[in-house]
Amino acid sequence: MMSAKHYPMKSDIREKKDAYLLEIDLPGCQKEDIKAYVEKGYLHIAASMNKEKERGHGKYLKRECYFGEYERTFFIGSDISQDELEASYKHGVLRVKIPKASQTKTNRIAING
Amino acid sequence: MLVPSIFENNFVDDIFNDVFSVPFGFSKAGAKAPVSSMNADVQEFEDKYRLDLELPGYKKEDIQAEVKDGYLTINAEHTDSSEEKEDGKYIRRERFYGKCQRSFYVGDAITHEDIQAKFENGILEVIIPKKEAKPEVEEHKYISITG
Repeated sequence: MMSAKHYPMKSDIREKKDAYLLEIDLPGCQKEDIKAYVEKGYLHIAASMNKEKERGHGKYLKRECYFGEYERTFFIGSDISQDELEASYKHGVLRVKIPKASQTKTNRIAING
Repeated sequence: MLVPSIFENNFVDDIFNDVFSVPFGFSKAGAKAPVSSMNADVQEFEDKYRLDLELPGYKKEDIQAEVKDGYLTINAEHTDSSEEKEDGKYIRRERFYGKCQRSFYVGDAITHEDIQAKFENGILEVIIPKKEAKPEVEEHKYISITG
């Protein structure tokens, strides 16, 4: 079992006034290695990390960094479409801004009587 | 062999990592607080060692590397930027924020001029050449005897 210390894609979620900010640790990726998409109310972040070819083929004396494919999914609600999300990748951190669903849309049922 | 058995002995770095990298506030708060990992890969090549350290979220200016008494020490500390300061309510917090340090034994023959380092996309890449420890030439300082 992987200890809490070693699983990849550690994430912070912060609630701000009008949006949620999702920050994911993704060290050693290229922007092209990260795929983010929304499906059925879930935000999927998939990345391929620490590619062998970029690191050379030495003999590993210590291997703690996660390598290979990894995916993490976050529920964001079905009200939010992919176009509303803003993402940036800098210093090994992926930041995704998720707007809060507009709260004007209420499906209240009128009660007569 | 005179070549120092770099990195194979993880005595130093584990102790340093686990005890000193956790800020005191966190270590007392319990195991659930985010722990700095500074995960490292070490590869051996014919003529060098390559060390890759994960430091996501840090900027180049936040990282310091130093060689002293045969140990390579990496220090990283977040310097507050306006981007990070603007706060909000944390709903989930897994990432480590703060100061961390890790040391690796590289052998007494290595000086800071031998080591090359590069920081890109949250990974610090350090190249350490293989170098034989030169046996110190014993200097005999004889006392001149007169008479």
